[in-house]
Amino acid sequence: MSEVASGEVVRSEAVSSEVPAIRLQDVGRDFRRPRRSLTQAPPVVHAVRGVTLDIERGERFGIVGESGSGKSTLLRMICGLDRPTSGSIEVEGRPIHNQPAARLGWLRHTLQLVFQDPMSSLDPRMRVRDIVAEPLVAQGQGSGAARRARVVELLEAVGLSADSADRYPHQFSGGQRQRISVARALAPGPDILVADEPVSALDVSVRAQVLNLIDDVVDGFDLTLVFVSHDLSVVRHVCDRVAVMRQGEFVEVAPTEQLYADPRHPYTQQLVSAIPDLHAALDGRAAADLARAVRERSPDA
Amino acid sequence: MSEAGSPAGMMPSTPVVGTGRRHLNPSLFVGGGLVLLVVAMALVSYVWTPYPPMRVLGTEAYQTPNADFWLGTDRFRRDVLSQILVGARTTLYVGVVAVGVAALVGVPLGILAAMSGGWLGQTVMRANDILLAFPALLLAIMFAALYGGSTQVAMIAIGIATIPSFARITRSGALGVMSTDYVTAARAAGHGPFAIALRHVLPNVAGLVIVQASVAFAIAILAEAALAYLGLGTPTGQASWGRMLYEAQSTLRSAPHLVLVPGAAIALAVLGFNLFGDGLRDYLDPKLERR
Repeated sequence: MSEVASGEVVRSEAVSSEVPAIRLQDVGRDFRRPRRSLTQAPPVVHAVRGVTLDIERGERFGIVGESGSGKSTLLRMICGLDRPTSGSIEVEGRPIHNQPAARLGWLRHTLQLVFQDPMSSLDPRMRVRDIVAEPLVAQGQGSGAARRARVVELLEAVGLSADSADRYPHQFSGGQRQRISVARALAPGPDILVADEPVSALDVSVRAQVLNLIDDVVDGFDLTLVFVSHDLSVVRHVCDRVAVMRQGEFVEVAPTEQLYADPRHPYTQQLVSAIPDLHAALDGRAAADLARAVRERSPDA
Repeated sequence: MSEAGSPAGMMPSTPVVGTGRRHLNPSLFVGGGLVLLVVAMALVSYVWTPYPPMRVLGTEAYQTPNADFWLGTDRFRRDVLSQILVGARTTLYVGVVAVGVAALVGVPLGILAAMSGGWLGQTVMRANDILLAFPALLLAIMFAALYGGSTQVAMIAIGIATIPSFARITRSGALGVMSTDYVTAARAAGHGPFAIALRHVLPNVAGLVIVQASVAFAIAILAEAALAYLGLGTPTGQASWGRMLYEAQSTLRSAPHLVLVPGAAIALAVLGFNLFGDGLRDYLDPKLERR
């Protein structure tokens, strides 16, 4: 695997001959901001630039970065919900970056999403049954009866009772709602599961449950996982390999344990050292110390 | 996390589920009552009126309310109560058709504008602004001049003039819906824009549209009365509250009840629909629900 043009990325990865689940080549996405002046061109924001990456089948890949680092934009492009302004994206060997939405039908049962906000990701006016069956309806899979059976099967697979199907989203807690989200994502039998900060909006006590659920379904359904988070400690729990993203670029891509044990890029080192540590907390080094440490490392902030 | 750990002042609020916290607010109650009254009057008029409403009776004109004629008689010796009852029909008919026309055109346009964005959305909304700049009554007078004055022409004109308010409010609601993750999820599930509009956008803006409809209903009633009063709406020989006002204006001093009765009917109906709309807005607003 060759280095990207920028040359800054620290890469440590295995070479594989198989067709990767997701292949990104020099992907960039620019956004035009509103024009500020009549005579000057509108300013451009480079949300994602020069991202090159292969995610192998069955891999659990994490993308970490602070908010505004471009990880969500990258994710939307991987899911075919947005198009890159440069570069190419292939999912299971088929290009998606230059296809109109109408020709991405196959992608919709190959790749599915779980969202961050359990309040906004389920339509408040729909019953759980219809929410979970939505991908099946959209893709015209199965008859009414077959869908009903499938919904029950999926709800049970994510640890919800069958009678949840007749209730509305507001009758569930945040963690349960994320379970519904996962059930919906599994409905069309995808090969790739993309999770956009799936536990960031949850209480700490519920996080572990949802992370374990994602862990289980990735194992049980043989999925490739792309997991985005701003929290390294969460990524560590589920991912084999992690990319650290900053200002639209990957600064380091490495197997998880290596990244934690031996972060190479200064930004990664900063992130790793900012993970709350039980021993440090017991030693009396509180959040204030961490805050000071962060401030010292990034004087511009 | 132990129970003792949560201080009394910060009781973890159990999520408000369903309709538990919703109360019938006074606006909804009073408005709903007045609306029901108008509907009841219209319904009653189909089975019973004290006298045939438009028939000239063998009695004196300009009677004040009395035992035989509860709301008196007008100058053509017709019974006022019967006309008021039948007039409620006209009022509701005009309201329903005008609001129907406005909603059927305005809501899809609003959703289209919100979902398409770009030049198409802009074009729709600018066209909307142009129509909005046109006073409803002026449009109705123009229609009356072109197609003659009738209840049908009046309500179509009122309906067309009300389209922009529906388009605008639907668009703003739809923009909010379009930015939610469940719409993104629907796209990722493979739904096209049309399915998303029907499955997600429309049900989630329905509350807004219903509130707008009740307010527009009040405006339509008022506009119909105004047109009938100007002699451009419901023609002579048909019962209409606005028409009754028009016919009574020359005897304002000598027989004030002929103006007061239809005037009060119009005022109460408009008030009723306005209050109902306000009450409904509070009732359906999820933010107020939490209080």
